[in-house]
Amino acid sequence: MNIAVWIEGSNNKIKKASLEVLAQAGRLAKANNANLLALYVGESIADIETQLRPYAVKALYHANVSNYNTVSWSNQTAKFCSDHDVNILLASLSANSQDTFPRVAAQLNCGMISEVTHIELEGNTLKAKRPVYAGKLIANVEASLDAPVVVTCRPNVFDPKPESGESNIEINELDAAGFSECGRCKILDVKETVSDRPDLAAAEIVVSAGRSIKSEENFSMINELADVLGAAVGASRAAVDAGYASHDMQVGQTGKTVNPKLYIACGISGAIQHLAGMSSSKVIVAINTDPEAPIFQKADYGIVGDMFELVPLMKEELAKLLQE
Amino acid sequence: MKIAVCVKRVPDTASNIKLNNDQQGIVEDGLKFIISPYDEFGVEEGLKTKESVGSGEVTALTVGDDKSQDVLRNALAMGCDKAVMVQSQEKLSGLSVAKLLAAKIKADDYQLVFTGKHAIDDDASQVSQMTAQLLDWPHVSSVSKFELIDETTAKVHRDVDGGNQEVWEIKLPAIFAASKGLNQPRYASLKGIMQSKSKPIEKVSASDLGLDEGSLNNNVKVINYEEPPARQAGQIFKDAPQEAVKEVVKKLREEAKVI
Repeated sequence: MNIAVWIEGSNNKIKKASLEVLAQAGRLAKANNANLLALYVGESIADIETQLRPYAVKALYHANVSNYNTVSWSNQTAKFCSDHDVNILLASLSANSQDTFPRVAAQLNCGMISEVTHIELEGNTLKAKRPVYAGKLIANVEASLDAPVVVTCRPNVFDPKPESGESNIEINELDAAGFSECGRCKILDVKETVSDRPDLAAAEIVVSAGRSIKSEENFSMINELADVLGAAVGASRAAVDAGYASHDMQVGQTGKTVNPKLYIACGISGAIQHLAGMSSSKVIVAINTDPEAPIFQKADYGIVGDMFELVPLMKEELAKLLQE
Repeated sequence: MKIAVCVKRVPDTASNIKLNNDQQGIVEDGLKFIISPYDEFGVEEGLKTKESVGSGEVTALTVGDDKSQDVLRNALAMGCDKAVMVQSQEKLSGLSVAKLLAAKIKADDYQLVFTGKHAIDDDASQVSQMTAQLLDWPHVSSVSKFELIDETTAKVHRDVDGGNQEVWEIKLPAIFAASKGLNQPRYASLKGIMQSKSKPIEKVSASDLGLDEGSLNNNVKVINYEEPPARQAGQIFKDAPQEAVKEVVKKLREEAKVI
């Protein structure tokens, strides 16, 4: 059996979310006597072999490509799966895996399981759990490995620590040209947000604010708290609809689902739409003036009070603690 | 220009979702159903594009059973010219839905297709991309700005990780999956609602499209559903802000061990 992980990197490092999937795939491979393969499409990462070695990867397949392309990347990834008899193709959830993987599955005429939070192998059957209705329910999904299966995994779900032991990795360069050619779609430009904050959907800590933040400018207070924690910044739908935050910051059923170890909700009452997007956070802190706010029913720690007073205090207190 | 907009009937986002006794689905009684919110952005963009071109027609397309007629009527009331239901009684996988949509899109020769970036019930975000692949078209999976340059080319913004945006040039025919921020969907006017009642809904089956519904499904299937583990309310601090903050920060480090 061949299990392949589609890995992503940035700044010469494999992304933590990719390492989580590698570690989990390694556990599946070890328990089922399968080969673990890695596919990396992107510019060369200096010491990628060293980074992969603890994960007991048998072979790395690399295509040195700088630009993402929807059509060619999915064509080549599907070809890779066919050429190497891949039974299970995994990646962490990202803009590019979400873009590419469904096309790969369609080409291979096989099923795809999106955003799993649990995965195991039982004989010839892959069993997975994935949240649906923004986490209001969990679906138990099964895939027969008579055909390949394509899977994306939620970030912050699997332990990134490898347990498989070191291995020598066979490195194979793939033909990069195939990944870059497509006459029908191309990137003209990338507009980067000037921020070194982590990506909201993959962040370990998220600080969010609701409509009671009252203005876009007041988000500076939330940003400052986030900066102390190295956290991503989110917003409720009400704050986004009021124009205080951009739509890509929205947490909830019609925004992003987050899965951090710590979620700090400031001035968010906890509408069901919002709770759906954040209630799988490991620890929730809520700050709200209304002691009856539904968010307090979900929060591990709640402070009743005005966020304009409490958020700066919390920032100060955390800065002090983290400096120690 | 022939434009299709794909819509899906889903429970309203404010709904409490309850599991059926047999764990095979949700209790639908008393639920309000709507067009999946991202699909609504797709409908709006289809209508806006037709208006900007000055001619053409917009067809609302769904895969579902008769219950989905309501969301098609809503799309017609917003201003779509036609509606098509690809009939399906079965709960189909993403790829099966994509096969049905691709077959109908091909048969009717659309040049431009809008969908939502994902449906808010199964949260899978697969069908739009899979449909594009089956048609051998390009797609963009999370569009926050759409501009038609000419009849064969679109320039769009794609939301990517970290709040960044890529600007893409796409040759039509192609599929575009709408994200929030793309537009503000219009409300159905009273006139639109009245007119929608007389607009036709075309119904086709898998076999009409040359597909055998029985053989559509693939190796992935949902076995059942379960409730997520319930969260319990924790400790609430009501007095003395300074002390409350100190206490919570201490607990985050020593009790919860998250910082």
